[in-house]
Amino acid sequence: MLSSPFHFPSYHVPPETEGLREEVREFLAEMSSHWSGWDIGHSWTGFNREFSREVGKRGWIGMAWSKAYGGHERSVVERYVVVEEMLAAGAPVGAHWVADRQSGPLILRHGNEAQKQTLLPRIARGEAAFCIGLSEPDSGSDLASLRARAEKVSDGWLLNGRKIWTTYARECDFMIGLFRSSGSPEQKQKGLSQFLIDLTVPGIEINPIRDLTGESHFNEIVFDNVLLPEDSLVGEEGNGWAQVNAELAYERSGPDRYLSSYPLLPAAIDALNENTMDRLSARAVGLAFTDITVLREMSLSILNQLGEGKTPLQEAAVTKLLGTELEQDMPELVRSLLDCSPSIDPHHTLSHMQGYLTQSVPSFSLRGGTNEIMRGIIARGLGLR
Amino acid sequence: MTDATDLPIGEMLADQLQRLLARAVDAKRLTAIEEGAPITELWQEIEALGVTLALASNDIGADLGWQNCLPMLRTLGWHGAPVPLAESLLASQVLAAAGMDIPAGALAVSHVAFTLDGDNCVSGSDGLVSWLPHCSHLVGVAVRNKQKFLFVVSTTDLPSQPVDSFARIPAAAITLQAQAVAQCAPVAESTDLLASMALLRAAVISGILDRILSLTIEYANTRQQFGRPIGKFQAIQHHVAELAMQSAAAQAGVIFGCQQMDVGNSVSGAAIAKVRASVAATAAASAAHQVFGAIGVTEEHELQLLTRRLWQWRGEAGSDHFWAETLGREVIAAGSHNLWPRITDAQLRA
Ligand SMILES: Cc1cc2nc3c(=O)[nH]c(=O)nc-3n(C[C@H](O)[C@H](O)[C@H](O)COP(=O)(O)OP(=O)(O)OC[C@H]3O[C@@H](n4cnc5c(N)ncnc54)[C@H](O)[C@@H]3O)c2cc1C
Repeated sequence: MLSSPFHFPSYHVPPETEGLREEVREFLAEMSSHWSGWDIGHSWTGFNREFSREVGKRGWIGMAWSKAYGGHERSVVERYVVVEEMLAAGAPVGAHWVADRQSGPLILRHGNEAQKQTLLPRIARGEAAFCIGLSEPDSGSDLASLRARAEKVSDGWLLNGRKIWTTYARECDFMIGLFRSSGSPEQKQKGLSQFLIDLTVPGIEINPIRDLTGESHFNEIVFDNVLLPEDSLVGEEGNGWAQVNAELAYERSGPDRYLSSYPLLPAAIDALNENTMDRLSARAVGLAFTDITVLREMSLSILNQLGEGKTPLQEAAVTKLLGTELEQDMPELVRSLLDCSPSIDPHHTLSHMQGYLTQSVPSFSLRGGTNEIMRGIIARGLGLR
Repeated sequence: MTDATDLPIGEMLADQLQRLLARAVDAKRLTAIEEGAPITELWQEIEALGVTLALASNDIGADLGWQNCLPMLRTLGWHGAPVPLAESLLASQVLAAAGMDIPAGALAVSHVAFTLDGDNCVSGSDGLVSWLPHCSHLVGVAVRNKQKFLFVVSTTDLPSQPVDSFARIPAAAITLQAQAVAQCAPVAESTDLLASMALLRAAVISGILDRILSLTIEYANTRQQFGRPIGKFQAIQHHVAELAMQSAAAQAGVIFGCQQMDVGNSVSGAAIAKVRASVAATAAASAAHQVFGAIGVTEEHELQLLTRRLWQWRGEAGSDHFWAETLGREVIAAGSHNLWPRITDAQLRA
């Protein structure tokens, strides 16, 4: 064998998208005037319905979906341009992020006609926020061991069990949840199904969990005999695991996997220009610049491969790992460049951002599959057993 | 083996080179070359393939561009780069572009700045020119009155001293004092042998990483300890994953560098490729050696033939530290508002 197990043919954003990029930049310049460093540090986990509605108005949610469902029939690259501009600016995209990236495309692919008609246009307007119900108290990395059940009853599905770490469950309108619709937890991947859950139906109790930053993004959810209508099943019964996995190449290779702490870098450059810049600082900045540039190349290459109908799962896994490592290192880079004080100063953008990100980067290598799990996936993909 | 006729031109050349090197080069041959064995025969075979002029234009060569040459460079790396093909590709490219003759034999390249006097004699020194003892001529750039000239000197009576290096490839330090040139001609200000060499080294590193990854996977699946292949241990799997990540990033970096070179952004593209590939080289060498245990650090094992080359080429033509500093200074001086546009700039992608 003479070849790499990975393929990253270069793909370039077509110059025709530059107009769109400019529009997004102008919009963000206008919107960002009152964002604090703390807000910017939240990146795609900043939840702001008003902002999402503004984004929806401009046609920047569900961009690649069919117009029949409220989409805009633009290309996936155009979506990429919008999304990367939003992340580079640290825009609070959280209220539409999950739906635009994951839940909407899932409904488009596997949903029934009624789900598509009612939900997709609302998502595209920035008016329907989604959360993801996978993890459970006893099922984290070993997700396939999950226990929450969906039982088929005469008038629909009856849900029982617990979900945990569900980001923005209290703020969201809907959840796409993975439940066991047949068999036992020992049967793992078999018998799992995805459900569309209106979070206002009776029997759902959502308890916020405060995190180390003092905020409560994620939640524990108790399902106590929650009755869902029959047509809440998304896709095929028992096919939930495959459906969840099919989305992973998208989820793992997008700009959200390497830009989550990007806004620290320009802020650090400002600070370096105010102070003295030495050789080692220049090297560290040059290295971060290189990493971001190369990760963007990898991410765009995967985007294009997906568009060609390929499934670059291994490429996506290495990109996520490299990307989360970069994101995670960023506050430490800032600390080493500027030796900043451990105070968190709300009047100083960089300090405020650094304050938030220092405390939130540990999550980056947990969410979306831990780095250990990702490394295992890569090794197995390479033929280690 | 793939059917060569179905492949794009770059892959086809790489495929031909691969067949030749697979037949002609093994660990024994590489070691012999390190110890000074001649490469003449091997070089003649490579010339006969017609690949040495792949980058050259002006009706002399194939003018294939950097992206098309990349598969060949990675193949060269895979086989431990036993010949100065990368240097000769570059030398013939710049010579052809300057309308100069391409001398016969393997060519060495020096990327330091020399000076040219009124009698077309060159002065200057370079502490490390890989392959010089096996090359017929040295190609470099010299400056006279702010004008760059490309020059060719014969290696026959070049004042040089042998130099030891990590790769143990025959190399020399040269000191030219008003050395008469065989040829010289003015070239564009944009001629940058350092950047081009940096990209070539990065591309070769990426090929070495592919090879090391493949050897490491094979070893992890066969070496047994505690009654099972070591690849079953998660700690080993994680080293292999690290190696894989680094090889993937190096690959993406050099593809970017070649693409940038083809659209004329030579320096920034080469810098990014060289930084990423060199960083990868360091991390990958550690991970691979850890997986191989003691056997991997023996002279008899082929791993060291590859890792020593990684340590060599990460440092040649500007190390990762050199290029990261260059990039960092530019990026910082340009100011924070230019950072993101620089990353996304459409003009970079003409
Ligand atoms: C900020 C944040 C937001 C989140 N949002 C959501 C959400 O919206 N919806 C949702 O469903 N989930 C969400 N999660 C949960 C996330 O998916 C899980 O944290 C993740 O899957 C890991 O599970 P765990 O936390 O139970 O850790 P565990 O699985 O208990 O892992 C603990 C440690 O053991 C390691 N480990 C476990 N198994 C192995 C193994 N086989 N080999 C080697 N090491 C192993 C892990 O890598 C980790 O280091 C969120 C998590 C965070 C931090």
